[in-house]
Amino acid sequence: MSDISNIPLSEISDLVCKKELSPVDLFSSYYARINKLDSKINSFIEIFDDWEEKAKISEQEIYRGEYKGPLHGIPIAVKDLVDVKGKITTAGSKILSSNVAESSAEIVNALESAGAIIIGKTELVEFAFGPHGINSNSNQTKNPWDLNKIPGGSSSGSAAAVSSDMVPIAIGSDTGGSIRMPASFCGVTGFKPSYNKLSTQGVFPLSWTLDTVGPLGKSTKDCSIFVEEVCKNQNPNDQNPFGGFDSSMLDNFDSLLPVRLRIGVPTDDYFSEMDDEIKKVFTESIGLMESNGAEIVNVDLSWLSISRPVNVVITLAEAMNVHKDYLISNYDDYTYEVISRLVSGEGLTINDYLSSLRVMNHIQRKIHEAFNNFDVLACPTTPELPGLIEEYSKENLSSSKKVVGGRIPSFTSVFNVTRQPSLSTLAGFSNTGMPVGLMFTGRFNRDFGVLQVGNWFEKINHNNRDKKPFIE
Amino acid sequence: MNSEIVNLLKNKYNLDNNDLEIVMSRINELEEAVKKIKGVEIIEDLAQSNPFSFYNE
Repeated sequence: MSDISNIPLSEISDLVCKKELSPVDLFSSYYARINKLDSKINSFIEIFDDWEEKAKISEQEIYRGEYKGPLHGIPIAVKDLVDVKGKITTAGSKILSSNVAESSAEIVNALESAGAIIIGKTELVEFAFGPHGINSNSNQTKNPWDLNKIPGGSSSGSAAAVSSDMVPIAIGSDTGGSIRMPASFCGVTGFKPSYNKLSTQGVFPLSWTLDTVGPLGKSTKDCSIFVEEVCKNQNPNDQNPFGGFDSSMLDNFDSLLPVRLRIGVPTDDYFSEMDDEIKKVFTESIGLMESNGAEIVNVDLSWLSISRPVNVVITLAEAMNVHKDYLISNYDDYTYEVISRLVSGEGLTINDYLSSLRVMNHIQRKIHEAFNNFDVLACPTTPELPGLIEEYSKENLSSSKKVVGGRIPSFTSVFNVTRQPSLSTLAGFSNTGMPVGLMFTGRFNRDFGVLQVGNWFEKINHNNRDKKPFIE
Repeated sequence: MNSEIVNLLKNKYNLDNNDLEIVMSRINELEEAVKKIKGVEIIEDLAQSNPFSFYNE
């Protein structure tokens, strides 16, 4: 069997379904890839030792004609803040280094019901609290496109593992962009579903008002399969997760979309502040969609910029509440990145928190009205390219004011506040060969529409999509 | 006010000078965020606006 690790999930599924490829072949291929590369990338915290055994069981089930669907026998990696029964959930922290999960998270149960094999836990920013992908408590995850650069976070290991073909798809979580930012930096597709679309039960919380879980994969189609299968198998299940559509219909774009797709492009100062190289790729992407029949609608969304501070205050207020006991008993065990975030919130008041929630509700009403003028909103995923890992050391961080707050989550964090479905997909590359992501956001609970547009864009964009990081 | 908080945090959490520099930056960022949020004028009737009930539930 030739190396199949770079084949998208949608194609692997077809081969498994036709019995041309078995889950044991998948184990052999991906396991070898992980052994070869992960010492350079540091994507994984743990690979489970029952993977091969589960692959053999899946193989037997499929050969007996008990095929469960497109995730049957497919290896999936899990960000290590998601509980898997009997395994340790560290949330990237020393504090939880012996925290064995008594039961699996709902999303894990759903994936296993769909036949997927959970193969291990991926690295993350401590407690998922930070956008850069830095965790001084772990073997630092590297960006597969440049091992000196940050992978983005907080789902750093999941993005790096998919990008370097060590797993076809992985689970991430997203409170301010933690799926989409690393997806953009590592050149993969990441999807943050509408709030509460996928259950966060059994996922260590950062902010219960903003937290979401979702996939990082090689394509929008792969992410769509993941969401559909979780929706069908989670409790309470949603057999009709996309309102009558399913992922196999993604390719029937012309018959499903409005007569002419209207793409909103924010032109205000907030959404226009980005590096020149990001702007270049973004402008080319918009031009490409327009030349393929989309109508571009320029919009002023300057009022939406308040979502960023709203996200900061809500996340911090809720995180402090989640961590209130550890901040007394284990404050010495936090990394400098996270203790500095948590303690900065000591001065927050209940009025600050409640005001933020009220503004959040206000914004949700306004964005609903704004979407009357377009079908989907497009903007870059991040306003800047990934920096060097060394820039984020404690010493450098303390002397460099600019990176403390950082612009990286400026665009992504807005759509956690609006709770809309939001997808990052590869648009192109910078002059230095780093991936640049494009983000599509749709109406709340219209997840399929966003996935449709992402799938369409990936088909018309031939801008080096087949390019792969060279790690060997 | 910032220096009071920073001194309090330094003792409470055993922070070194580099930690404190980072914390100080984050406090400034947070104060800026709170100021912006307080500046938002919401016209809806306060009595009808439950902060825990969202438009997008």
